[in-house]
Amino acid sequence: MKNRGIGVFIFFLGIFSFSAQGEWKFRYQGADFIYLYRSSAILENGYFQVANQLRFHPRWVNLDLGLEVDFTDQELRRYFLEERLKINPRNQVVVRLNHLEYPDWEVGVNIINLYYQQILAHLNWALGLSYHSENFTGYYSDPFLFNSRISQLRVIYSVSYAQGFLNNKLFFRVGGENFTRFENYGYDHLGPFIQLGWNVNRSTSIWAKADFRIVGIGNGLPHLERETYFVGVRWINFPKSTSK
Amino acid sequence: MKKFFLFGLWVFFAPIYFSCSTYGLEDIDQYLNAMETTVDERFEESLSGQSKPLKIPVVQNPEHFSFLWCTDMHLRTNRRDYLDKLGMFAQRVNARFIIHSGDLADHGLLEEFNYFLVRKEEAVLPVFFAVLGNHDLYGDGWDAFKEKMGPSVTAFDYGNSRFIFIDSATCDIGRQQMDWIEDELKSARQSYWIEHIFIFSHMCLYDSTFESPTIICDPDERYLLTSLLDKYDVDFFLCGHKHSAEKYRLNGTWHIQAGTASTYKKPINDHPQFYYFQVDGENVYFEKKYFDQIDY
Repeated sequence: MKNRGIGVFIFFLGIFSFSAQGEWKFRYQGADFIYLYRSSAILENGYFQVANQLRFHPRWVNLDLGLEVDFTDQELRRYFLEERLKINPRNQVVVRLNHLEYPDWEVGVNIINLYYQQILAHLNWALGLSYHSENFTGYYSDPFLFNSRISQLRVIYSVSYAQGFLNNKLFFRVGGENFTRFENYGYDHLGPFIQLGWNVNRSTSIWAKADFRIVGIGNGLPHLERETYFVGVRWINFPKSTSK
Repeated sequence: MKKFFLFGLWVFFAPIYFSCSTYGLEDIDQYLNAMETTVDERFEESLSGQSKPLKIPVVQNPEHFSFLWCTDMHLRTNRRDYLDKLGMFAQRVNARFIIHSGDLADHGLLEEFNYFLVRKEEAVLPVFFAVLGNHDLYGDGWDAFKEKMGPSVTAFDYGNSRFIFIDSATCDIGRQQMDWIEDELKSARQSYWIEHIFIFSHMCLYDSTFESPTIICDPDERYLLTSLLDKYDVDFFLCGHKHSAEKYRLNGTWHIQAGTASTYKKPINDHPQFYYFQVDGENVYFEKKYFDQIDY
């Protein structure tokens, strides 16, 4: 059974449900530019990611659009569309439709992630569920096709501790996660990571991150299955101050 | 802070304790032994002939033959087993061989593999092929398995079918093995006499609705392998590990988990079982058989 459009429905349900409320104003919130290198048995390549944050309503409609391209041979493609419902600045509910495709293998994967995220002064955590579906020859490029014959649910989590130092000019974050905005790893994954960053100014930061995917935990045979190294720039479009 | 650290350690190691064993963690050494080799090392040793060679039975009729398939016997020297029933059924239907999809020995001990070889003679089993499982890697591990049972990775033709054994015991496939699998599939499809392709693995490619840590770990490896099954029109992907009886058809390939063939680690949703396969020209018929319904 094909549930075409389920992703679109969930994404835009939130948007149109609250369209009657005020404070509607478009704002370009910021962008991320990331270069990363993945190293596993199957993938060993460099990739470029870009994500843009668009705000239409400060609480209800905060969209994020992301795209990843294979930097070296343009085989693997990923993109996502995300809606972030900000209950308040610290508590958010995120719905994201991810699409991943391997043109060489003629395999496409569509994923709907739904999770709750809390961002505290030092602690950042998220917990939720993802629903993913695989599509094959002839259908792998379709981002809205959910084929229930091979669909699965998966728990997703992320927890990290962040600390700034040197007057917050520098910061680091350590934690573990089994998903990022672009990727869902799987149930049996422990993903410890460490991130170091430099706040160049109020709106720009440069960071580097090393992410390790440990698998085989459930079999009593834990081993490192993949390493990913990131270098990124985050730019936030803060409103210009009017005070003198 | 110390409590957080201890909690983190518990979160990390708890899945090991609760995994795939009747009473939780029994002996940490067995897990450490299991990590002594990588899938690439076992692959190289298997293909370079550093394991017990397989004896392929003589082909009587290349178009018509039968074999039995089961998984997860978890043999222990102090537990009963279903080998007598398996042997009697094999004789009755003249099965040419039996294939087991991993976890033959519960602790991966040399004495358990020796015990199996004795029991195999007592039960008058036909030729028996064992695919490597994660439990086979515990205890004496890979060294005992390759000496007593054979390679972790191999392929052979029997009649009009190609049989491919893959090593997913540590829940990964690896680049070398993946390339070898594709080569085997390609050569099978280029061989005019091959009509059917069977792949035997300990871990499966898919789980039921809620994903659990029982399938091949790396999603990329799963996607690529699924793509190869589709590309080369593989007939069967036969696996175990989860102790669940499941069967589904995807892109023309039957994916079957055969629960268990163990007297004391029974399938979570079914009864101990094996499959009876009959190759009849261009057709393959298969039937699930329950041990407790066989009464010779």
